Amino acid sequence: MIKMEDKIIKYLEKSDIKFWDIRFEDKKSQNVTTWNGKIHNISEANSQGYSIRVLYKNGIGFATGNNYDMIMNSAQDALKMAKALNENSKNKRGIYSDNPIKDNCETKVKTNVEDISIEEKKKFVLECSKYVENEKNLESSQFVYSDSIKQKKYFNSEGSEIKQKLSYVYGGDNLVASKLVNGEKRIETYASRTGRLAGFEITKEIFSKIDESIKNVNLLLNAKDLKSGNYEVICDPTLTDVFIHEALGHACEADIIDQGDSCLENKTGHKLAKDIVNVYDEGIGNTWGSFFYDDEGIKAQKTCLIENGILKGYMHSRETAWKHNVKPTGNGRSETVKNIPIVRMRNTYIEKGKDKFEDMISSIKKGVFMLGSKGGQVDTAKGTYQFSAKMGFKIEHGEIGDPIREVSLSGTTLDTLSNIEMIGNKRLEGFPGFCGKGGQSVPVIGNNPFIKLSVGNVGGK
Amino acid sequence: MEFDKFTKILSKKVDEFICIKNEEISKNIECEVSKITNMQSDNSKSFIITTYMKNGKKYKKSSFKTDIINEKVIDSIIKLTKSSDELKYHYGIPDKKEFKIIKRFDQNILNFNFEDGVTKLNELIKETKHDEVILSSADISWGMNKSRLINSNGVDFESKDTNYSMSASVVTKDKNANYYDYITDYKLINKNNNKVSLGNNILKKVLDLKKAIKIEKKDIPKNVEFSKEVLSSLMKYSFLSNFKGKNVEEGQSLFNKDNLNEKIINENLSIINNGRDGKFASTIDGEGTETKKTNLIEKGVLKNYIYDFNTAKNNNVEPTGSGTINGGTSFDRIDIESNLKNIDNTLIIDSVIGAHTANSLTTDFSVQIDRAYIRDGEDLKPIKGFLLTNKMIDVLKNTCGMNSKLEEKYGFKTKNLVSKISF
Repeated sequence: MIKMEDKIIKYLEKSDIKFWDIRFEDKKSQNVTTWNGKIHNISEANSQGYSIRVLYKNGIGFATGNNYDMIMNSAQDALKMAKALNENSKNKRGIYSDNPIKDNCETKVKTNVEDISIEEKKKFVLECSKYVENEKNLESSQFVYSDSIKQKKYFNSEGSEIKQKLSYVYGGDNLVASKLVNGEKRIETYASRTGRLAGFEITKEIFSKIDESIKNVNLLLNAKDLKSGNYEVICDPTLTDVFIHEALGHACEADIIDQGDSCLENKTGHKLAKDIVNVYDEGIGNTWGSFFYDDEGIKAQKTCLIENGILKGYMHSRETAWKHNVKPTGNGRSETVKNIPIVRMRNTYIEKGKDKFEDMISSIKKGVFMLGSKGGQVDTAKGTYQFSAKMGFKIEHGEIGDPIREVSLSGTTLDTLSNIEMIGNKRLEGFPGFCGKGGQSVPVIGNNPFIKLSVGNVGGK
Repeated sequence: MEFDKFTKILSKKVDEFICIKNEEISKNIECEVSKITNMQSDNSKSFIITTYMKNGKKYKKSSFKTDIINEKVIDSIIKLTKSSDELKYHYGIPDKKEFKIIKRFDQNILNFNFEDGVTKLNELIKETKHDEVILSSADISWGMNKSRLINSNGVDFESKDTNYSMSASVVTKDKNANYYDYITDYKLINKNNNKVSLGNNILKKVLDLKKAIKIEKKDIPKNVEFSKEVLSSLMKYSFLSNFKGKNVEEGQSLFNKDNLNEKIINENLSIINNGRDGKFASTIDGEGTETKKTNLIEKGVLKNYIYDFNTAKNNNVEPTGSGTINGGTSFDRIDIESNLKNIDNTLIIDSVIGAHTANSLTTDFSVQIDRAYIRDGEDLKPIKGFLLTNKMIDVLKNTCGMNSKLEEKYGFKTKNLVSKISF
């Protein structure tokens, strides 16, 4: 491997290139699922590959592959494309460059998943299945365990040489329950998941999430419909995560700003929310969205997006940082080594506030408490969004009331930000998910507090 | 290791197997704010291997995905298969047969080079140039996928498919309107075979949308027209999974076996899983079964589900050529056929956000309408969006018309569907 890297580096150094970087990635993952108490699927996937990015004058070429015998051809291809682009494009292009970094780091784990046999992984998911076997309303149950080890190497023209080994583990459930309601069979589903950079030890935490799913899927069977309208709203940490990630976060990505596709363009320094609102995107730590270095060799860091309600800045890759004349924020990420790094979020959250959950509930006369997320979508240019909660509860006269189903929240990013009037006093671990952008999907999370909106447009029946 | 040698060794160590080798060559050029920014190329191969091993009378199975094949991989596969639980049932894998070949290959795509791509993108940039509009992003991609499936029953089938696509997104400078669209085919698309150009179309649409007005609830027509884009995404997220045979077998579907031959939607609608036609149709599925045209709903009556090889055998029906290599099923192009006529006065829902949050078991959906128009014959007036909540099964029960031209897009071949909805 070393010889191959040296050969390519020599070739790239000889060419008249302003910036280059080479990435190598080896990934090994195992996945075990159960369906109604039986092992449903066991699978393993191994992948490897490389990518070479070249900046020649004002042109960027990017070539990838997984046949190492072809790597020199790929380097030549990348340079050829960069030269062709330079000839065809009159616009100035650049990639932020800094001092070299040499580092070698790996996820600290208690129990390395590579030391755990597939039998033990099977045993864990079967234990999960057994845990719910006496639940009378369950129509079906599915449990999943998944781990992946990514070994990444990064080299660039600054002289950086970075190696990192990341261990991702997650486990979760998907429960389907049914019951006869007014003579008709009602079917409801609820899913939960735990995941972060960790070892097999994380599996112990999953049972408390299963308890939560059992409780909620049963509540959903008795849940009522809600009349659509404007309500005071409390969002749980997972729904807050979806709002902060989808509605605010994407609009703060510098490439979206540069495309003219963000409602937050030219809004830095503007007051968007009350003083209590502080928002960060962070790559440090062992969350599902964390790493040591991004896919452009920039160290993981905490990036402030909103401070005391004022928009402070955007998230950057090396390329957008060069364009905006700022330092990159460690947000240059790619799904696999085959994809070019673009601006992506990590762990995006509202900093905790001072309010107790009970006080937030008791402050509401007629409102809705919305929990979890079934996903959502946002139009970053117009700043409009729609998110569906997994379930909710009515709030009447300061108390939590009946459970409700099929509720959604929609509105505009700027209105919703300005409507945040209370923030919970602790942040909870969010739902480990994958964010899709530009055909690439990367692990992200948001560890957020409960928030209260003075008004929210809630969709129901 | 050579693929043939790999499968030969594998055949001696496991009872049954299905192996797929994929080789992909792809090229892509991206554009941001009317400027070409990146050129990319990829040249890679990967393998997917599903193996079955006998354990007494039962079978064990595992799936393995890898970029390299060697003896070590075979050892890992065997270890993984032995660790698996016994399958509830296993009837084998598809047998060797003569396939009716579907070709989706265009040599012109292999001759298409980066300079041609740049020319195409520059044409698009020129077409979308307007004082009030930004071409925020666009890209052009083309390539070839060479795939070979070998199974232990003697199926050995190789296919070469090409692909070409171009997408573009525009936004007005005041950010009040935006529009995204794409064109795709297995063959090269040029002005001769695509009557309306992508650039001209999206520019016209976004300028129209700038004029969107708010409308009172009482003025909204009761006949709601779902565009092909909206119909396909709502069908995909809130309805189609109910037609997977495995979901029916496991009680994960709105329907059960007894519902076959029952009227479930409007009698003027037929829904077909069409594996034999369409831009990206293939000769065989991921297990080596020949693809088919399967009527899911015929004139409103539930007729069939889609099956992989083993679920079909367990349900005593023929496989529908919908299997994936790891045991799941996937839909081919979905055709919606109807003899219903045009309806002149409708609310057209042209784009929604949040379709993927639908509940496929109950078919409930709650979406934010992103683009909408009032249709008066051929005249379309853009209006501002609002929330729409309904059940897809009810939309299909209350269908009263089919508007616009029949078109293949978003994995569907359909006209716009008109349904009576009360707000």
